[in-house]
Amino acid sequence: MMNIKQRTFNLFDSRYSLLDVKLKHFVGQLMQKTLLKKLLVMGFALWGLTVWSDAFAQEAEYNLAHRDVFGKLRRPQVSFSHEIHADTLDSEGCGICHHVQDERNGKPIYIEGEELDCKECHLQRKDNKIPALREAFHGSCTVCHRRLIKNSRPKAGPTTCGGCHLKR
Amino acid sequence: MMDIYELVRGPLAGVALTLFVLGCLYRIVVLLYTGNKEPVPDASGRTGNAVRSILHGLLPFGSTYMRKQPLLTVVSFIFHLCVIILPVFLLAHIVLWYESWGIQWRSLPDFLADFMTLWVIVACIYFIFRRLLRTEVKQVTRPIDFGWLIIIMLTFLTGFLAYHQWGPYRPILILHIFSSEILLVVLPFSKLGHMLFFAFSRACMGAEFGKHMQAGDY
Repeated sequence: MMNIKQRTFNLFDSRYSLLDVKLKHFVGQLMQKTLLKKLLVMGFALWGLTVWSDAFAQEAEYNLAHRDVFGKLRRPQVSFSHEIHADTLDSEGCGICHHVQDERNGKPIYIEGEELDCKECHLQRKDNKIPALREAFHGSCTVCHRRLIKNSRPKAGPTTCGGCHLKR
Repeated sequence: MMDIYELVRGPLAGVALTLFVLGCLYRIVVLLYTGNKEPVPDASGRTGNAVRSILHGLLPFGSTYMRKQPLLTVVSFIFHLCVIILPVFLLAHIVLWYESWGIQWRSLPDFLADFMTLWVIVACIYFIFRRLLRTEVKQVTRPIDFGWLIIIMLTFLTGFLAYHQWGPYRPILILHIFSSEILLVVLPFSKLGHMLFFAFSRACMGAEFGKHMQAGDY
């Protein structure tokens, strides 16, 4: 018993130099290979992530405040889940919210890749004919929720003021 | 099952507004058709006196009864301004009108709306105590008059609570809308109908008393 223990210990002793060098070389090679692999995998993942985030340049949750348009807010800001809406309205298409004006007849149309923020066009009320930002939000959010509730989807989304403008 | 908020905000609101308009028209048309000229030689029909009386009734401290009771005049005059202006120019209501009919106008600042709401609530309490304590008011008070005052107070109190999101939001909001719809429907058929009739009664009294003021038989 004693002997075996002694022997195992001695394997890694510096006195057994040849074995030691071989072992170190082997381990070193192994380390280099895995490091290379790891770096490759990480690089690939990073590249994939950038491609993915380019394709879906959106957060899951937005805080709609737009102080640059509204100035001082008169109601609590709205937290809007883009994820839920994108999932739910999958069949109806992104154009239900993300529309741009058709150059020929001025009607709202959907162009893939031109998904703008609402406030790019719907600014404060001036002489322009499209609804201002506040009316665009209410016209899209509340009116759509109400339409869905009427079509027997009772959990479609809030229609009351405080349903979206939650005080925190 | 229909969403209760959607029910009171949609169909019931439409019913209440329709009944309000039809009720007002009915009461005024009936008033004009059933009225007839006094069967006396010099019937009270001078438009000038009638208009003057309406004007004095509208101006704060414009009539003797107002000058004799300054507290009542201040409380009541501002109360009436608030009750008429607030529902029309409140931001939340304007948003609802936009959603329903696509119309909009300028809104009151929120701090002012808050102050006006509190004024209405305090004024209602004042009116209730006045009806309980002042003999001459007590004598013309029926139990239902407290009911109207309480419903007005409830409407403005729930509106105030809903704006600040104090308490259970949805029930309070539903109660706010429902109580205001009750007010709209009963307005032409209750004492609240003075909104429609004050001009007629003041015109009648003005024409009547103006005649004697100009008679020169003293």
